Amino acid sequence: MESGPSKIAEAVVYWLLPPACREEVLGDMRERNQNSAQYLVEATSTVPSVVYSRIRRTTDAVVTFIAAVSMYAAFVMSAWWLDPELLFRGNGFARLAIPPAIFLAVIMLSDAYSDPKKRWPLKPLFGPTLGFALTSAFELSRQWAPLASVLAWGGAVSVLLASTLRLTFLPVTERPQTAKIPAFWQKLELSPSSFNLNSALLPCAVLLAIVLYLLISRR
Amino acid sequence: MPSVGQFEQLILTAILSLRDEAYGVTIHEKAAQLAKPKKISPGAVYVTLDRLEDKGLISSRLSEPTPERGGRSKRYYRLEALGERALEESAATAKRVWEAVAEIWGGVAEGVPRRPKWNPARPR
Repeated sequence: MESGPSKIAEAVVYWLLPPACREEVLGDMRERNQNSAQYLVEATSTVPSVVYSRIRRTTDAVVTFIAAVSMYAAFVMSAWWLDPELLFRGNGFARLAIPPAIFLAVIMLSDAYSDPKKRWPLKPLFGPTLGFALTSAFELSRQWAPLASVLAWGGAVSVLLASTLRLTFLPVTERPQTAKIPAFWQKLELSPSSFNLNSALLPCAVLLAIVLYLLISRR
Repeated sequence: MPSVGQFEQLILTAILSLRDEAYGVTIHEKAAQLAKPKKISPGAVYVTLDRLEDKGLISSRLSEPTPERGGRSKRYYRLEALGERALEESAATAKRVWEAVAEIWGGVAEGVPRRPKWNPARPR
């Protein structure tokens, strides 16, 4: 008689693993399975590593950095326009960093959990839209969240910016794959130029100038 | 050529020695043998395999589903030419390190008792 892990444990691990590596990881875990306790211990150490590895593989550092800066700027601009007091109350700028952080986390996780076998033209827009929905749901449940209108405008502009970025620089899983060459070379060929600190300084300087201008003009 | 760390060398060696039978379970077992007495987790093996594939040192393919794995496929890994060169280079470095150590300690490799360590008194 075949002895496998419990169906519930295997189903939980199935849903926790990113679809791109489910097949081999679940098979390997089944092959190593000795008893339920060993299966659970292995699952708790293996699943986070596999998810981390998938996030690392599907995240383009340059595009993520550009998206983070643009989304933060979108929320700051919305607050400046709709609720300028928010910027100058305690930790206003830090509070505005929370929605883009949730946004980015959702986008990164949705990329990691996207199934490379299923493709549709508007797939790159799924992450930002889900990010907007979850950010709104999370932020509106907090007492010290920004105004709903700030969230709505900041979120809408963020969806627009993130979607444009993702349609221009497709997520790693959506890029065309050239056969018979290693992934490293594919990345070199198809992704934008590698992260350069000097090139990152310019958007930071522009953002800093905007923030300083806002601060000075208020006083 | 991409540089490889100690754990990556271990995984590359495991893939090299397993030849056509290199997949998650066997690679983990072989790497655990090589790393003794240190323990290694399967999760660390998956992360390293992904990183090595991104560096172009190894490549992978999915096999046909097998009944003993609940109808799931195995992902087989193979060393690429770049990986062989990286492993060769790191093995040569390890050999040079070993020779330097053996020269100072005396024929440790041949089982000859090693010389007393050079240990000058610290300046006060």
